[in-house]
Amino acid sequence: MSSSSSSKMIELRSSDGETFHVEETVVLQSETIKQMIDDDCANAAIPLPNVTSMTLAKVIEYIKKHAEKPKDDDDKKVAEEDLKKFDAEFVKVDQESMLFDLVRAANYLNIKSLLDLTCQAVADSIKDLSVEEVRKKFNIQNDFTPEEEAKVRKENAWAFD
Amino acid sequence: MKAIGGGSSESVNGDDDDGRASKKAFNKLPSSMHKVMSNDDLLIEILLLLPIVSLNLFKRVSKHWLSLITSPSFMIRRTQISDFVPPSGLFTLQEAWSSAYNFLSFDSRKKVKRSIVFIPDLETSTKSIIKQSCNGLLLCRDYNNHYYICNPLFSMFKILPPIHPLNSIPSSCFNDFRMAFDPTKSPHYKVVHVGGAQDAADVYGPSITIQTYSSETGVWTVSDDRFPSSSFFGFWNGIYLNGAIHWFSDSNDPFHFKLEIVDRLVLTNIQTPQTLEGEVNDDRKLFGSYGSLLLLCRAHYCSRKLNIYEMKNRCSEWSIKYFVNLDNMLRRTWKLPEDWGCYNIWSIFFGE
Repeated sequence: MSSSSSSKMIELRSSDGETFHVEETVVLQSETIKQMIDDDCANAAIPLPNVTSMTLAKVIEYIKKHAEKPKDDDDKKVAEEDLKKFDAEFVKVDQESMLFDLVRAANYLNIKSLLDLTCQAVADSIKDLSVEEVRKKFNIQNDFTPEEEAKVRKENAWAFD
Repeated sequence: MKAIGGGSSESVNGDDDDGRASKKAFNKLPSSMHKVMSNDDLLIEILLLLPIVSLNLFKRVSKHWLSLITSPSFMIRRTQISDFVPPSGLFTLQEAWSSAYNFLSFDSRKKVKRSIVFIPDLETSTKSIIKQSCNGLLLCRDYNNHYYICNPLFSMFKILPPIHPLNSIPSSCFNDFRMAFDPTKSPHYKVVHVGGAQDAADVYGPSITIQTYSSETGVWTVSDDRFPSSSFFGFWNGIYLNGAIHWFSDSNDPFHFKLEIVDRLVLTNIQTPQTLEGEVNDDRKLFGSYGSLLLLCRAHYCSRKLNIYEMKNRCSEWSIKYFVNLDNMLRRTWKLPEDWGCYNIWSIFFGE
């Protein structure tokens, strides 16, 4: 029970009832699941009621890739470059809602690097928008009066840039 | 490490008590987007990763975004994220000998086509010149000798209050201003004024008085310390970086000066690297780039090879960063003027 843990498989169940088998060493990147395993709650399939099978499959693809260990220093550099490319491709999702699903899943599963990666992708997707475009994209009501907005505009002209 | 937001805020099903307005506002959004954007902890994580320019612009999105972005905890976290701010545009002189500039913005939201004339008070209709550009703010001077700070992105001006008068200054004296602004560290800027008699020998003791203006307090503060005037000849052309102003005072000095201005004024000098012949080349120039101080100088006298040295934050030694051979860089047809020098080079940017 103690030494053979490297090949131990953990079963994860998505919100829509699909099960996934992932090596324990891979799945430990999720602090949430690590906690469950530490608490001995991982004997049966771990239910993940907040993560759909589609999102979970993406998350598993990510943590599997990030679990690969380079053999030596030369390999390490190549692997880092490879991982960078993988990350860049990983956040190029067809549907924008998938990106937000991944943000939520990364948050719920507590995978810091995936949360950073997906939040950065969201930030990159809005950084060049105008104020009006941001409101439209996220359906945010402008609750400033024209005077208040002018005041914010004026004050912030000074703080930065 | 703790999951942001925790389990409870994740169970948002549209029946949370965020208030009617936000529920209505998010109605048409895909549910995943709604759940992320209505979770402040996640929204903050996303906002933290925005460039400063976008972040300031987005304070106008809504009252809620304004309150998140301007909360002290957010600002502290944001200032701890170091990122380089790429250049956002170019100022081009409208015509030779004029003092009016055109601003060509690289940011598509801020296409400034009209010319910018750097005059805060149009009634005076005097021309102004840019004295210094520092991380997005400009220090300008009009022909009536008023100094002011200009925020070109928003076409905003702030005329600096007059400095404290100094006792009996002769006409040939120091009267130089430098600005210090680093938005990644503080939203406030400082302006340093150097004044005093030009007395190279300093026979009557140190004669330079320094006063500092802070946009936080809005007042000039005179330092009790006096400094030797011989150290300040090139101060007017100094570079601000990481809490200090750097400049060469005399072209023959084998060092440059560094004036720390964070808490108290500290003047030190830093050795310039020597050429292979063991000499210090006087054709040299300082640059600031992405948090490092750079020194550009010729490898030898009259050489077309340049060395670029770097001094990292909190270091006081130069290390060689690049060798640049102009013969390899320039096309054969493109001839350098006979009297070219490092002063012809305006900027150095490193790519990724």
